[in-house]
Amino acid sequence: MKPVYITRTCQIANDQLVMDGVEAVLDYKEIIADPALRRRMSRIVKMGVACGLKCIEGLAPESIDAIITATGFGCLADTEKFIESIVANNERLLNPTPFIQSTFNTIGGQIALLRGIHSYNITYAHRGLSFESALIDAAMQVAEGKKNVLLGAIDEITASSADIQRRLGMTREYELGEGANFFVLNATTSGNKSAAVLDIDTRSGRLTDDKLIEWIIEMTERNGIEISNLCIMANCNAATADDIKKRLSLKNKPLQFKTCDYPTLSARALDFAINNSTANKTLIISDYQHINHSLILLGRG
Amino acid sequence: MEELIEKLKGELIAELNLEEVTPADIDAEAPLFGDGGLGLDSIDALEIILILERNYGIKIENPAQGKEIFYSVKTLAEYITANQKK
Repeated sequence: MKPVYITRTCQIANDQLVMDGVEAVLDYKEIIADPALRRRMSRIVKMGVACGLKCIEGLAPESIDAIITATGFGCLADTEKFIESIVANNERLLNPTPFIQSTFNTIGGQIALLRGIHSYNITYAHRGLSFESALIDAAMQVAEGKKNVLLGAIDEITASSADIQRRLGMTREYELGEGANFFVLNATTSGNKSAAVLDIDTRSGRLTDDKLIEWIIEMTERNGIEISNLCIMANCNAATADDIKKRLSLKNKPLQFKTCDYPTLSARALDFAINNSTANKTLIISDYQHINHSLILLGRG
Repeated sequence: MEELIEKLKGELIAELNLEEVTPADIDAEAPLFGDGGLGLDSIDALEIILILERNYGIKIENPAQGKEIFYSVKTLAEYITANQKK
């Protein structure tokens, strides 16, 4: 694939706004000025919309050729509110607001409406590969000549979903998390950041260590990269990263990242690698619940 | 009537998620929609219809009356008092 340059990054997680790796003041009232809009927004909608708007701050609406978002679980709090209301009111007299806000494309749609962006707008909800699917689409849009593609990923945790995930044994290895990450993608390096996505690949189902090693070798060979110079960032546990380093005889120490787990954590991993990796080539290895796997190869622009 | 007005103010704040508004901020005679009042919109109107149906058992049979009934908290309270079944 043609390299895709990430010219801006923005993250909201744990009530902190981080732009291009630098902490900034998070003031929802300033970012989403209309109080009528703000009061209808649930936590995730507010986080996602604010993060997306900050990421394109200063860019003219007509210069943004696409908005592509990703979410594994969608707007859970609004969905729960809507479903609870169906049960409580015997499938009658349902409140319109949580229904309107519960759709998966609420955040991409709100960003477009608030900034008057009439371009391509799509949301991917592909479980643990939602962000990767959105990234692949974004890369294709850039390859077709689109500029300033806004790419984002959003997921939230609610008390009832945390309870269900705990009961399903999904929290054995990591605590659950949430967050919003947005990026601006372009075909050139202009901008504050100069990281480039060089390749993306995804797989689903169980992946043995041997298959993972084969997969990494395959990707580095395809991109003509000397494997020993690769820095890996395993979005899985540290022991796995150390094992991969040993088996591939890598010179660089793996970049440690994993803090929590949610379907679009790979977007936060990408933000972290862009703003923290000093290596020329970084490979982000993601694993969501040992079912959805991805490799994202990152280079310096 | 005063008691009902205060109850309605609380229900509007809770159901419409009026985060930065307290019951004391709402003038019972000020318009609910448009400028000069709470600045509510059409989605809020749907939410108020649900408050009337769920909490007071009132269904507005004639939509043409809506503008008059929904003018202010006071007009809502008067309509509820005149039509309440629950």
